Amino acid sequence: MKKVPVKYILLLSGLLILLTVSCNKGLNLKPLDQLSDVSSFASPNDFKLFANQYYGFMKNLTNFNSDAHSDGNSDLYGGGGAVGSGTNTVPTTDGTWNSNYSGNLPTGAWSRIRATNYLLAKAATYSKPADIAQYVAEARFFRAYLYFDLLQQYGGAPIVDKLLDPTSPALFGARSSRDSVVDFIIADLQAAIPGLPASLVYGSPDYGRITQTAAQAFLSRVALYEGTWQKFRAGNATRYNALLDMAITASNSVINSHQYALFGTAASNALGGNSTILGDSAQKYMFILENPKSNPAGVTKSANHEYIITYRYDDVLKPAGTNINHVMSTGFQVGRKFVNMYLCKDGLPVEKSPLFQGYAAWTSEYQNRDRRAWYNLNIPYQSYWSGNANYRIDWSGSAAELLNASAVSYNPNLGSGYHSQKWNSERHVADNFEAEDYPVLRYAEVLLNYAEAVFERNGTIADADLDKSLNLVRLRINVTNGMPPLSNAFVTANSLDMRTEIRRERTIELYMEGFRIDDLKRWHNAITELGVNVGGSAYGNASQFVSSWPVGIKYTGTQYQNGPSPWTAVASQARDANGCIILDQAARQFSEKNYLLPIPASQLALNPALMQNPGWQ
Amino acid sequence: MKNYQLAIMRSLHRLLKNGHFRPFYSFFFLLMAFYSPAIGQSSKTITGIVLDETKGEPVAGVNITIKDSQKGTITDAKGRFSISASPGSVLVISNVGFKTTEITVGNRTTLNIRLSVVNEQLNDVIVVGYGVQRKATLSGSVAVVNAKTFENRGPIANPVAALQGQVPGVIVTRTSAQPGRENWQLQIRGATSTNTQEPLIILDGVALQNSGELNSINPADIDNISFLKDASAAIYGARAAFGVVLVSTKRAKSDKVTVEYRGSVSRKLLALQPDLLVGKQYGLDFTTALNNDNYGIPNTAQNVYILAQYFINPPDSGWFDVTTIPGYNGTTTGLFYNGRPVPPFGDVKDFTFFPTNMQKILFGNATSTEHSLSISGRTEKQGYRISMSYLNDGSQLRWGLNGNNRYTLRLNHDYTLSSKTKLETNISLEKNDIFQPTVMGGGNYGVTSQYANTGKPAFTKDGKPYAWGGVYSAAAQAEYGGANKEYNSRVLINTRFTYNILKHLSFTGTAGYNAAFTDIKIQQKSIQFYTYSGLLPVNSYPSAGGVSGTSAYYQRQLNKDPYYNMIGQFEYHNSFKAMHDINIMAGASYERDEYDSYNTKTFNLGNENLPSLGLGISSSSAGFVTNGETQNHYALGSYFSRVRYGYKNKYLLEAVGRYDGSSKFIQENRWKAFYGVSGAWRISQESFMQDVKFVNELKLRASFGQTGNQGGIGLYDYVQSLNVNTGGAFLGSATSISVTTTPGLVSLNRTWETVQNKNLALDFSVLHSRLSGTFEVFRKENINMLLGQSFPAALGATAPAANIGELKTWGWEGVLTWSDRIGKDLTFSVSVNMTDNQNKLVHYGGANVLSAGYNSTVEGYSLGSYFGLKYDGRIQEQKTLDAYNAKYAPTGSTNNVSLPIPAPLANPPGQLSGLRPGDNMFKDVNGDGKLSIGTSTTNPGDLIYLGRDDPRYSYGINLGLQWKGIDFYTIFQGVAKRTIFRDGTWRIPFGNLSNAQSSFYRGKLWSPENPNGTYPNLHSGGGINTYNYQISSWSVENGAYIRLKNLVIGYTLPEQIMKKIKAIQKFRIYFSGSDLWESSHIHDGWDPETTRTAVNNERFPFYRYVTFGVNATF
Repeated sequence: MKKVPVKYILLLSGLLILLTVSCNKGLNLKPLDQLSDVSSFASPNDFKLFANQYYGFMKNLTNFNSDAHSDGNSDLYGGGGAVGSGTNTVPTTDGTWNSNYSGNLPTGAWSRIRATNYLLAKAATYSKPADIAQYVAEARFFRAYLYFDLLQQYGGAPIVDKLLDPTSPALFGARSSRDSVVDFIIADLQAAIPGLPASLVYGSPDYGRITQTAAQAFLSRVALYEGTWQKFRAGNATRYNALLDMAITASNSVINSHQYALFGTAASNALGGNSTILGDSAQKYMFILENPKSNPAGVTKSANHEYIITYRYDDVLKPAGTNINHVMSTGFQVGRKFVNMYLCKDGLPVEKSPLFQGYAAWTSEYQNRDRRAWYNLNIPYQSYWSGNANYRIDWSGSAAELLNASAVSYNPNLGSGYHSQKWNSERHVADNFEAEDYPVLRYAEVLLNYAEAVFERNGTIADADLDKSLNLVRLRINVTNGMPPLSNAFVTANSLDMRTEIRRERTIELYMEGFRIDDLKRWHNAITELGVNVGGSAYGNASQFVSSWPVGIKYTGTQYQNGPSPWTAVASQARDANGCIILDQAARQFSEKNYLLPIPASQLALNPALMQNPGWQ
Repeated sequence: MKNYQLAIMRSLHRLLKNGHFRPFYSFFFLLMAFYSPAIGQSSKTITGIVLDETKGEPVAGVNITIKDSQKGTITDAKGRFSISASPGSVLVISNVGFKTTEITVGNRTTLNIRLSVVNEQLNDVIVVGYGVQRKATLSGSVAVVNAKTFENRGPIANPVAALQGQVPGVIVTRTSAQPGRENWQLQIRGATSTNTQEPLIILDGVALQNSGELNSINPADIDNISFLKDASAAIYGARAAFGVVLVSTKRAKSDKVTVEYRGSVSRKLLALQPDLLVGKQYGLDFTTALNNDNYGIPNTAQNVYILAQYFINPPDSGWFDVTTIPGYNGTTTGLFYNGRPVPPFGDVKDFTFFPTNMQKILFGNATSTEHSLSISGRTEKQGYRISMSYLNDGSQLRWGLNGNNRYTLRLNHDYTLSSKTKLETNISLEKNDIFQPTVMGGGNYGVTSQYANTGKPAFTKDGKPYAWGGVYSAAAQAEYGGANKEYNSRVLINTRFTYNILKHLSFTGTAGYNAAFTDIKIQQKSIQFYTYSGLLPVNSYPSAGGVSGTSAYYQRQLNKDPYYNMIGQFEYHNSFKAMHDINIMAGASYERDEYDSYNTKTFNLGNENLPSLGLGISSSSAGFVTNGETQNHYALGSYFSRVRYGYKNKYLLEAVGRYDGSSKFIQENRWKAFYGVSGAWRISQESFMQDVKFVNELKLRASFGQTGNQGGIGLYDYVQSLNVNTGGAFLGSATSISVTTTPGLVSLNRTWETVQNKNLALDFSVLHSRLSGTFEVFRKENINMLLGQSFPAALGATAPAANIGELKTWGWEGVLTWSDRIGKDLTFSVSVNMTDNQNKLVHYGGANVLSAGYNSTVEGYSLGSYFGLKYDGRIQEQKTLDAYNAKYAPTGSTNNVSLPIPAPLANPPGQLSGLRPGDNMFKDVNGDGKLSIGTSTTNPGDLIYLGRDDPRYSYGINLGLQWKGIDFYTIFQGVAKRTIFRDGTWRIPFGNLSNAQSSFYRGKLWSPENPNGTYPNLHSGGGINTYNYQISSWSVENGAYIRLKNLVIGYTLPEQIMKKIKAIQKFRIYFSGSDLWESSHIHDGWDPETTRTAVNNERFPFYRYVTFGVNATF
């Protein structure tokens, strides 16, 4: 070693130094295909682009039928999901209470809430707050939207209104109370309203974004939900009355804005487009309104003034991406209870109406009924068309069209015998390419919110209030049918119950839109409605409508048994005392604890302070 | 570069494709014709004695042969021999453990021969990081395999495949049998982290990205592979935590020009696969399951029940068309066929009841061929070796474009520029084309899915694709759904310049360039399916229009992944007074990887038969063309050094160190040092050992050190970045663009994982080196394992992984080899190796979440642990059932073990729903009076630990025999302990009614008459099935197995013949078989090596491999 000349040592060290310098420089590498947080949020457009993601948080065609709110969990269906049957158990994780992502897009409630807080945090340091007020308001609206979903499912939740990091103590805190969460939601909505645009017309570049009226409409939903939840659980009267008042005010402000109208009414035509041209079928085609070829009269989405908050699709640019036709046209065990809920055209329920035709023939029970039964359900012997292969050609009902139908002369011998047609598009459309909009919140709900809020607040409702709200919904396609409006006199004369009728209207109108199970929860009657007397009757103990099981069609003594075209396959299937086929052998077990979902076990393990919901420990 | 490369590949391909074996067969016969016995010369008798040079003792059993003849003898017990030979002949004296000597007889009649003891292995030069070492003076734990490992095996798609059961401490598992995508997993000494497990792989000094890159290497080019298993790997610092694998390619050895050809043809024979239920048996068992579900009352209304009856009594034709039945109006509801109800299924148009087994339709035997040719030589100044190879790896999948082709061309060249300078260059061009059908896993019914239930044909009566409603024939999907062609090409250039500055000091500069290019062409074609009559179109899948994943499309993708490295190192080596041996090496390196990928995809092709991006029908609609691009890079700067000191070759000490800096960390946290220290004591060199005659070599080794792992760290995790997303919510009149945060939070303070490595080993060689072996114990501790931290969901983001975990791994490995000779001609060698390791996740950030089934990480347990219920026997009678229900399923209770709560039934009245006799019982392990699945280790409910998925006690038994020209070689390989719980619905009979059913349960069902049957009552769907078949001590399988991994019988033509035919030096033919036999406890029908998940291409059936091959050296 000692023989090594100095020059070599110098050479060696020189080389090493050179390498050190170049190395460190060569190790400073920045991302090549992503934006940096530092340079963003410099203009209002940056905020807008960030807020755009929130519109993907809304309920849509992909999930409305599978989430915890879906009608599949309710008493309207046989079988029923685990949540509605009360057989669900504490999950390790669930789809809502988490912070998941799908690619770069947040999917879990908490990652979405973080996305709203992220914008709010950036906005706090932005130099010109007025320029970004709309997007700040959107962040608050959607934070409220997300929290309301948590509230409906779990009750109280931790209130997170800023960006947390792993060192934040808030992560390990207890859940805020139900009341605090409701106040937080309402505060967000009220704070959002001034920053939002008053209205947006179809065709404007921002059409589809949240408006002041939309926020009011959503506020009516929240306030009614919590107001009734508290009222039917013997809550604080001052609080629930205040909430019901808020629901009345909010829904009334939407009504008075005159921005919205029920599709298929003259009021709607006055706002633009012609939807009355569709006549009685207006409501049916509203749900499958796509391009002009989606309905017999070439009506387009521009004529729809009923959807207030909408998850929008487009047949070219944004198709559904889910096979909504296929899902909606098969596999649902619509229960007899729901079918029995449709009024007869004289405005009376089946157990009271002389017009009710019984069950002897396949079609008897559909006679003289609320027209909506004809457009929500598949009626025997009618022809039906559906999407991909069995589409309508020209709506002429010609032989060629009949040949192309998925069912000519519909035969109900499948499942429960009752089948749904809502959401089932008739135009020629490939699977997954349906493009009807999904109404996250539509005007009909606001009207029904108004009627219910007024009734629950005051214990009574004036005919004028019914006429400006519920009756518009009830009579939209029943005018030609001659159905009378709901009025105090009509209720009295026929020994009806106003609350039952208001609730009936809501159930019929909002069928398959994910309201029923949440409504039963807030009315605090889910145990009765789901557990016992399924398939029963609203008035009296009319035994022919009552069953202890979820049932489908009446088999014994009807055309199903006697023919023509008897349904021999169900001959061996269990039937109840009325001869109706039993859809689910095991009884439902919905109990008090089922009003709230359990907090996922893994989350409790991570933060025991969350505390499990009552009955789930 | 690319054109040039392709041109060579093409010509090589042509040459070999047309060549095949024909010339070699004729050559072989020609050669036989030349054979004639040697003619004798005048002989005399020579006697003598053979002595051990060091100890002066006679050596018995020494083989003495006359060169180039078959004559020979053996020394007796006193070392004496006698042989008749002519003066001109040469005696070859050889014995195991001694150096082979040649003596020309001349005019001597007595010979005193002294043999020097040598353990050839000990003089082997072993490649260690940035240098080589002699095995004798090695102090670290380094295992080596040589070129022989890769010979005789038939086509090897990836050299890792040949390592199974070969190297103690190296665990090789396979996950698929799909050609080109076999995905061999390589692990050294068990799991060391939850973040990647694969050792660093260095090919001729240049790091590879992963072992998959070895797919394109020609195994015949490999000279040796070294595995650095302990702290000696620390010379690779931050990437050495899982060990280092150093692959060296062959260079010219002799100064003679050598041409070597190897060729083989192999047949893949389908091996173990689950046996699927077909025909009448399917109908009968299905009916039983349905009747059991319905409490013994046939539910004749059920569509599947009606269907099952048709399987019991199918129509004579085997099928019928629903649409021809009078009254058909679009649905099958309410129809009758020959007086029997037609099962009501929405949109189907026919029913077929053929005894089809999709697995048998899809997969068959296949042929693979391989040719390899090399030319090497050496002159005074330079040495060269050029090799070419071609592999055509056949696919078991019988439909669609399939297979794996590999073309390689390599030039390894060295040139001595002057007495002081030398230049070595390796250039390798590799091309690996992998083809597969695009539609492989289509829905539930693709090639690698669970398959649709039996009965359905693959093709219609007239050969068109068949579908039953939405159930599309898997074979037709593969055949007509288009091809996915992946063209991998790689250029690997490595230049090393050595300058001997002084006598003892040298400088070596290395520049490496490893560029991988992957060009992918995927066409997904729309397939029109028909009913069995072939007359009615059913559906098209993938759909013809549209822009979804299941639409027809054509896609191109190009990935470029160039990797550069530059290394400069100085080495000083000197010996003083023949006692002190010093070796010092120090250097620096810079490595950089730049990944760049883009793809473009067009839907709506003008003509499906002409896939071209330019021919997408231009559409104003967005989404008909999609583009994607990914770019990223990382770099690693390092300084490294090794200091070695040896005293009299007896006491050896070595220290290695490395200082690494990575672009993946923020500047302040970028650099970290790693080190390893090892020492060895060659006890056999001690003077007191000289009298211990039977010991040839005894060495004690120990090492410890710290190595690092940068796996699990994103490339830019220290920067908060935002993503831009298109195709978002429809706002205004367009889909919106949205900006989102990345799911993960930024982390500034994290660093490399540090693994502390300890090793203690004993090498020995006794009885004239006949018996040699190594036994090692090791302990590895990952003290700051990077873990994804689990925080309450309210965080709203993924917390950055932090250095919060601790994983301990410990184990042992050993190898014992006996090499000997029996008689004159028979040499043999038996070698047994075994490896075991255990690990425990000591700290997992306090998160103790646990679930039933496979848990990748649970604090306090092994990685990959299974947890489940404890089986408590089978319910034999009603009394037991009632007691069980009363205890665990009272009315109104709930449980999370899928135990149904008995409820009154509508039909039959008075009976309760729920379990029946013949169902399983589980034990209330924690005695809380309930059955429950817990959620954490502190609240495990009734879960118990059921074992781990990683194999334990992996072993290999190698046996080699040579007798004259015949050689025989066999490897048994196995695992002595493993728990496995297979996912997928085939695990549960009739668990999913739409899927094919595995018949493993047949004849083993419980019944009152067969109370000891292995399997419970048949049920259908979920419900009780989910309960019975959930993970428990009953449902997990014992994954232990032993299998005949490889067997070779070869024959080398005698040298005398070769002498006659001057053109050929050596000619050998062989037969080889792989995976010919096995024994295991697996009862679900899968191969014991199948992964627990058995998804996607893991479902490609494993095969047995028989090979016929020739090796010829010219």
